[in-house]
Amino acid sequence: MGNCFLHGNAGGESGGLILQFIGSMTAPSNPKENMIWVKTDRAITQFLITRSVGAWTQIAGAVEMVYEASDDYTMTGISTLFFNGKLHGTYGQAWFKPTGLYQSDGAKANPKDAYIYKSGTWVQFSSEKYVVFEAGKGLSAGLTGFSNATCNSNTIVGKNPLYAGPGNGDAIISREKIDVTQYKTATFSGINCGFNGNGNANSSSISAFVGGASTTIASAITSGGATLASNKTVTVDISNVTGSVEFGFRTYSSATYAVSFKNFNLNGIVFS
Amino acid sequence: MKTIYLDADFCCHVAPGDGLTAVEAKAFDGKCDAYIEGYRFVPSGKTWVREDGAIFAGEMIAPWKPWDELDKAQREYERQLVAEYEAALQEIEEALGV
Repeated sequence: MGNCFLHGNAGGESGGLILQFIGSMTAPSNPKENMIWVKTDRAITQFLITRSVGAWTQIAGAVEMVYEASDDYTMTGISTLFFNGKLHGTYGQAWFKPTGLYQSDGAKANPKDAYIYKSGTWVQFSSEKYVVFEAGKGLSAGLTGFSNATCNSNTIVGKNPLYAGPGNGDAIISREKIDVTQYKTATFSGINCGFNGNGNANSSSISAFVGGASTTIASAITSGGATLASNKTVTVDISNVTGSVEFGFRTYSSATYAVSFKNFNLNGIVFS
Repeated sequence: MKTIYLDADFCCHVAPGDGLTAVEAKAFDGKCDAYIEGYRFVPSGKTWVREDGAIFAGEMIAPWKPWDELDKAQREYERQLVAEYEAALQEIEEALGV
């Protein structure tokens, strides 16, 4: 457990904004207003309040909290380097809002679930996962969908059918790129897909990709019909995929004439 | 289809060597050696366990070097190829007097 206090300028150390960081897998008991709970089992060694992550990536246990504020000028006056001590700043009439929190494992800053205690409730402001699509909620805010697919609140539905052959075929590609630098794993779940070789001899496959990483969802060699996936989940290692990248699904077939990937749909995409 | 060589951790090599297993992979068709050797290829039917314990089933290809470096290497390779093709085309045109 570690402590950090951030004071406002209202009469010195009395009143004003006070932030206290607690690292624990369970919510702290007897929380105080503006207490910050970092859901972690790794000891918090240092704290940094910052506009952008990365200054303390190599320090295992270091926590960096990203914020937005009403006035850059007042926030630049803050000393952001401290250890188990007190952080003083001058604000005037400024607001301050935490928007993300990361903890280093010694090599990488990883997003963590983090909450701030406000008026009797823990309010989450940081998540260790990026839920791109979730059944019942649809696409994450800011995303508009995919090429060759439609989205409703429960399912991403591919164009029917997706054709492939000879070579690379129809692809479902995100309209927006997502920065996956902080994530290690992409999970695609609830995948369903049928297939028809349309009388062709073939070697065909459909894959999920995130930037330069991909995994095969299913393969087919039949010239007839088949079920390739039924409520299937696949994962891709994206721990070395950095920056803003496209993601989605690709088809391929060696067939001379196009084969069909039929009724392709899924209901979950998460980066964690 | 390209022949690549995998070590015990499924990291790719472009040349055979002791302890390496040869596999055929279309995923690396058209890719330069620097790109290929920055990747891990987990064949279908195999699983790879990342150091944090996460398990990934093949067939999966994923970079083990930073992907932006691999991507830059591949783009430079493709630029060089285009330059070579253009130079060859120019030679042909000159030879034909076109």
